[in-house]
Amino acid sequence: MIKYFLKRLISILPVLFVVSILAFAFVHLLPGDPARMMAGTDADEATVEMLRKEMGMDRPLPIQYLTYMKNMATGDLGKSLRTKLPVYDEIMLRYWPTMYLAITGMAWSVVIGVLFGAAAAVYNGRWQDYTAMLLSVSGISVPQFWLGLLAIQLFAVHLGWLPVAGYTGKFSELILPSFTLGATVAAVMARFTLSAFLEVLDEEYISTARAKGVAEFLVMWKHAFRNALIPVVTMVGLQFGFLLGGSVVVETVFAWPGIGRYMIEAVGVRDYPVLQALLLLYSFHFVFINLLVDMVYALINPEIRYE
Amino acid sequence: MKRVILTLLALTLLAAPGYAGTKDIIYASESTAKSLDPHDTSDTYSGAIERAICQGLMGFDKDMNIIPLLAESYTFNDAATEFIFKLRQGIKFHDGTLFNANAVKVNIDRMMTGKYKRSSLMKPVESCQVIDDYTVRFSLKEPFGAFVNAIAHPGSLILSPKSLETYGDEVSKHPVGTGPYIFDEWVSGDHVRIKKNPDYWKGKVNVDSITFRPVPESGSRLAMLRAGQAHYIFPMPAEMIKVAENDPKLDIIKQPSIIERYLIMNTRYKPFADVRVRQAVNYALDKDSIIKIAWGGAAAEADSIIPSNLQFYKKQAAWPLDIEKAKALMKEAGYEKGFEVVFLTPNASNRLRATEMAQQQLAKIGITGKIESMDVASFYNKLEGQKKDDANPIPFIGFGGWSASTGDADWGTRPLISTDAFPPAMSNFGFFSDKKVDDFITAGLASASPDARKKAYADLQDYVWKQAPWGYLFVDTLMAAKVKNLKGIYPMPDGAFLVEDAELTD
Amino acid sequence: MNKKIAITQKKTPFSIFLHKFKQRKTAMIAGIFIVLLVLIAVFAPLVAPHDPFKVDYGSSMMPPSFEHPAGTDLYGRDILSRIIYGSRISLAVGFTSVFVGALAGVTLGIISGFFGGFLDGLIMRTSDVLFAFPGILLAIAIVAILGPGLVNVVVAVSLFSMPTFARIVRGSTLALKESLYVRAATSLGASKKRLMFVHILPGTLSSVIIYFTMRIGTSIITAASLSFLGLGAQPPTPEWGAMLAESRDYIGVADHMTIFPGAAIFLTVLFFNLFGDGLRAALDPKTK
Repeated sequence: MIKYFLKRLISILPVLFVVSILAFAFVHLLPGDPARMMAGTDADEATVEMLRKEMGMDRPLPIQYLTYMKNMATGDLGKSLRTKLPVYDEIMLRYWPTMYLAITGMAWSVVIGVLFGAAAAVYNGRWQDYTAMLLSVSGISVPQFWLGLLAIQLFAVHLGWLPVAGYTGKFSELILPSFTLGATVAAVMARFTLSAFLEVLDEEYISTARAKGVAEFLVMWKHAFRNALIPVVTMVGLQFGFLLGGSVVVETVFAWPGIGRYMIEAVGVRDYPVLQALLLLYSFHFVFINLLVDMVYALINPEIRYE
Repeated sequence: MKRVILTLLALTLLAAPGYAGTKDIIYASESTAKSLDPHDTSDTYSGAIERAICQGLMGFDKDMNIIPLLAESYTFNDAATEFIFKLRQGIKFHDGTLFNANAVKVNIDRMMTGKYKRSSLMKPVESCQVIDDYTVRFSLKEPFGAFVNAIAHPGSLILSPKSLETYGDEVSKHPVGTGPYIFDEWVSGDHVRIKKNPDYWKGKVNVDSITFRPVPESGSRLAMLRAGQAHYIFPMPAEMIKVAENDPKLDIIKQPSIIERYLIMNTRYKPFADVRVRQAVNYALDKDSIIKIAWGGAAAEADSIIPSNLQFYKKQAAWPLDIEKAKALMKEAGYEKGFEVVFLTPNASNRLRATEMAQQQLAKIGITGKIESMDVASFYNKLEGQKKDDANPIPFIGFGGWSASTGDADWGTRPLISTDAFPPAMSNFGFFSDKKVDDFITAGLASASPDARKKAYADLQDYVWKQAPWGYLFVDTLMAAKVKNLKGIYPMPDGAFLVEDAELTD
Repeated sequence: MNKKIAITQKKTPFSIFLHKFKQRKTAMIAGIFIVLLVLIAVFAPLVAPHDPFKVDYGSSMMPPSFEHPAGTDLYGRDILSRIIYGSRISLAVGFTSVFVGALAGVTLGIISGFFGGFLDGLIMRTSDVLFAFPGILLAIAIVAILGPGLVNVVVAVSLFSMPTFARIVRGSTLALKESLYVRAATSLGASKKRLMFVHILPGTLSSVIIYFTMRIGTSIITAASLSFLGLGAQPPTPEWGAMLAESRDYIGVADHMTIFPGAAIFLTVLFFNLFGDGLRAALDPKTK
């Protein structure tokens, strides 16, 4: 088990290495000149040239790449071209707001999804099933930005219950954006919970338990629920990366000071070091979460342990 | 599971509004602060925040008129090569340092190193000399009649020399000036907060602090204002003006800008090399509808190559909408059947709308083509990537906009239509080149005497308006919105703002 | 589960499926709606009351009326006609992008799960890398590099659908590979190709179909999100997402401009999802 874990952990490194190359390639393939963006659209050529030199963009690409890799290896992410502040500091400022958003969003989606999915499974084919699935599927059928804007209109402007946008550390500010983010994933959760439950409910040990006269509630909780959770755990992992990506749109609508909006801003001004670091950060999360999912999977169900 | 939901619900209810009653003014804007080092700032928004903290020798009032700030007066020679400023006495920086001629020299010398984004403002300067404690002289390399405008520009603000010594280029995070507000906190990507300067040399400051908060999505920004989460928003989305007008808690502020919008045509090549084709475009554009529909009414039709708020502006007769005349001109030029172009535009929604309308209108005289919208960086990359001598040029119409941040006619024309300004040097993306235009522009800078400059720019505007290097569109009207009990925050014609007189009544 | 699929399908595969599917009423309704939508898309010129590109500044942003049942947009174009023509675009974008992504993803997933070892590692790590880029960012990158437009939106969406398909199929393949049924087939000497595509593929299909239908909806929504970020269809294309993104500046001023395209997206995506649910229920032997 530990050997397997270590092996997988090491296998992250090549992925990150490839990602770092891709990140470098990606930012340099983007049309547009960071020096121009930093200098301002009304700047003269001399200013743009001066900045290009200062940023080291006047050097040949291979040299730039080597410098970039050398800095990466020593853990130096460089400085933001736009603010000249260290990229690490800039990202850390925005990292936790995004994490709070994604974790709360995930909580919403798990609660709603598992509840609705389980209900749909237990009442398979009856009206509860239809209602639960219709509601949860609605969440994934609306563009996030639209849902967010409508939610702001209703809950913040008309009813005045919740703040509109921004984040100053209050929990109330987290509710609308995290719900908007989580609504999309709730449907996926509900679906997988439903499938998983149906599968489990049909297993022999459930019928056995029932035949032995175990209370229906206990059957559901002890046997069905726990076993059905395995695929749901996988989905939590898989969808967490999706949530992080989805925060790009939600953070824009809700003026959330997180890394999603930062990404959009960094693309906008071609802030190369920031973009490269963010790409690595996103990838690291994703690969790491996948690894965790696999671990949990292997722990719960040792039969499907991979080579 | 039920308990979790109940907890969530309870938290939701508990979290009801708690944001009323604060003394802090919240300014919600579209932009994010990028730097607080005035000499190294290229965007209007950061520059405006810096102007609340720091001041220059000269500055602008809310209508972009030049006013003396840290200087009492100035004189210049006829050749416009020497400017002498008399400084105000008894002013202290926020850190207690005394403001004097040496402080000015330290700042100007820093800009003249050429290492900063606004170094270009001091490009004409040969040297800056301290004559006595309260007098400085600028000697220029060549005549530059618009120099006082460069001194009034937010890029020429004066920082405390002590802070420059202490922080070096990190001063971006610790700006220290002489202004009405003291820098308090900058959380990059989130907010900048400034607080009252109790010892402001001009007098009392009426609010305790101002927080500048970025809210990029315009609907969210207006919603924040309506929900009482912000006191002032800029820009007020013009499309939603009806919503704001119907809200009794709000006021709308309008301010004519110095931002001109126009359609760039590549005049170096056929078919736009023919002045008749360019004139046809101007006759075919329904400026009025574009302003109303694409721009939410927040603009005034352009009536010169520079906006009316710029120094030395001269009004011209507007191009009327006249499809017949446009068609006749097209026929005369040999393009009766029309031709194909590419429409290039940044992808901000109002620019996209304006381009879409131009596409609809020009189709009527046979100028048709696809729209290519892209983000600002790609857009400029595309425009700057053009070569002066292109063997296979594709005719294009690009959506252009220009804010002449010095407030002077020179910066509203030279970078855009002079031969020296072909990209990548500056922003003459249509490669417009005309000997007469170049001569007028040179004449405008050859003297610092207002009369001589006025004449040169009047001739320039009269001549170039008919030459139609652009499809003239309009000049933005800036819109801000605020809660009724807030007074004294003004949008400025360049898109910046003044917060010095801000006041929150009960 | 897999044994059962195979067995029941051998008896009366389609009739059982149809019977079960009919029982699922929401799915039936959704199916009818989708057929209707496809018909509308095909016969758009006959169905649309107006020319979707005809501009009339005089009737800008008119609320719904008899003449214009969904009102008019900024430039006075008929919104209903634009939605009708837009169904062509949204359906095409949704279907094409997922189809391409699924085709590639399923193939890679089966290969990866079946062969395991180095190939598995290679494919999974590649998909990890692809996965590791947030979808929207990948889309931004592709659109920024290739230039704006719908084709590139399709490319972007298929590219980031692919790894999910691969992952799902790989998971099922791993499980199926160990099943009695496949072991039996192996011992009977079935070729690898036959094992993969005849014995394993059908077993993975139900999860692929669920994800496929769900993904059609998601890709329509992704196209809309790209329009929100200014990277979607170019005007005057009547793509729903572009219409919705454009109208967001007018929420509270001309609500019909956002409600109708929004509803079109919502209903279409919802019905695709419900249809997918119906398929899942019908393909799953456990539902009665």
